Amino acid sequence: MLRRRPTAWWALALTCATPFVAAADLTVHVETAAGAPIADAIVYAVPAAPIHAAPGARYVIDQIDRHFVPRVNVVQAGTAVDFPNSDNIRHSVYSFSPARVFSLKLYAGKPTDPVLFDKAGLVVLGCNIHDSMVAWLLVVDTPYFARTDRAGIALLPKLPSGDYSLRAWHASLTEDEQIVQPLHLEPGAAALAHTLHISAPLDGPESPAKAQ
Amino acid sequence: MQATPRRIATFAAAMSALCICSAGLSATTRPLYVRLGGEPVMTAVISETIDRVVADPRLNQSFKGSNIARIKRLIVEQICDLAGGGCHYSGDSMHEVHANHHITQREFFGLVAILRQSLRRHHVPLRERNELLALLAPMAPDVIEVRIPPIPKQSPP
Repeated sequence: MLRRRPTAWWALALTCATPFVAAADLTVHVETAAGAPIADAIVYAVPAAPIHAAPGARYVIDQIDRHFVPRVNVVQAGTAVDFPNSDNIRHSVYSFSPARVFSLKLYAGKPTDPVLFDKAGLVVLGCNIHDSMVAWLLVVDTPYFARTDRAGIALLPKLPSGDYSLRAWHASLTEDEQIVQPLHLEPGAAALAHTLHISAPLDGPESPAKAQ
Repeated sequence: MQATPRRIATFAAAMSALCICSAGLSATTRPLYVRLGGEPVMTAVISETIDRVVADPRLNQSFKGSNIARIKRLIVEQICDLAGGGCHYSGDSMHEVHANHHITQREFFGLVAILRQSLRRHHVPLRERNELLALLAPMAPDVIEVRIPPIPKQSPP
């Protein structure tokens, strides 16, 4: 994965590693209503006071063989995203999503400035020139996010005690369809497991049927 | 029918009107785009041409994954612009559009051959076909094998 976590994330992890700080490792299982694991879902816990990325946070969404790589992405709000264009043919990246409306022309051999995503929400990316290109960028107000593996499991390590909105989203869901549950972490809890169910049909590229 | 003076006068008037009319619409004053048949004919010709190119495995590699409806719309718009139809081409330069698509001479001239067939099929006269091709021919160097080196990869921060 090309994910680059902001440096603040590591600083936080180090802080929380000391034994007397109240933090818990949260394991989240994402399943269909029938109990089948859902891979490539994004799980994130938004604290009562949203946390933006430290200035300078960067992320990369490349264009390779007329595809966005990766196709499903999550970044903390405040992250600047580079679109480097490894194809080196012309692309025209756009978003009509309310969280970030933009249009970015990528020409062969010409570098472009990164695009800042400073507002939480789901951004659907397309290419004007290649209409088969699509990608999703979930912008979240928290450093606590992870992607489910093939077993449908995401780990949010060292989550400080407090109140959260625990959410799960998958590329075949709209922003409004994501799963939202309140989560309260007591001080002193060490490890917790939680299960979220997505009952909507999954027809996105990373749906269980197509997962290998 | 007897050629009465009145009939002769009517005929003469009709002929002179026809002459004025055809002089007013002669090839020298009517824009090429109009003589090509305007938007209806050009839309049909370009749509047919691109559909046939996209369906041809010898010619279609550079169209892979492309928004075909957009390509057709912009080609018609560009022809309208070049042929005096009063449009403004809103797309990118031919050089930028085709860079690094590795378009061969064979692909380029294969498309031109299909375009010529489509023009004939839509009854565009020889003179107009040649005028259109003369407008498009100078684009070849901006289409065939345009190579632009990639941006050097930045080392990770």
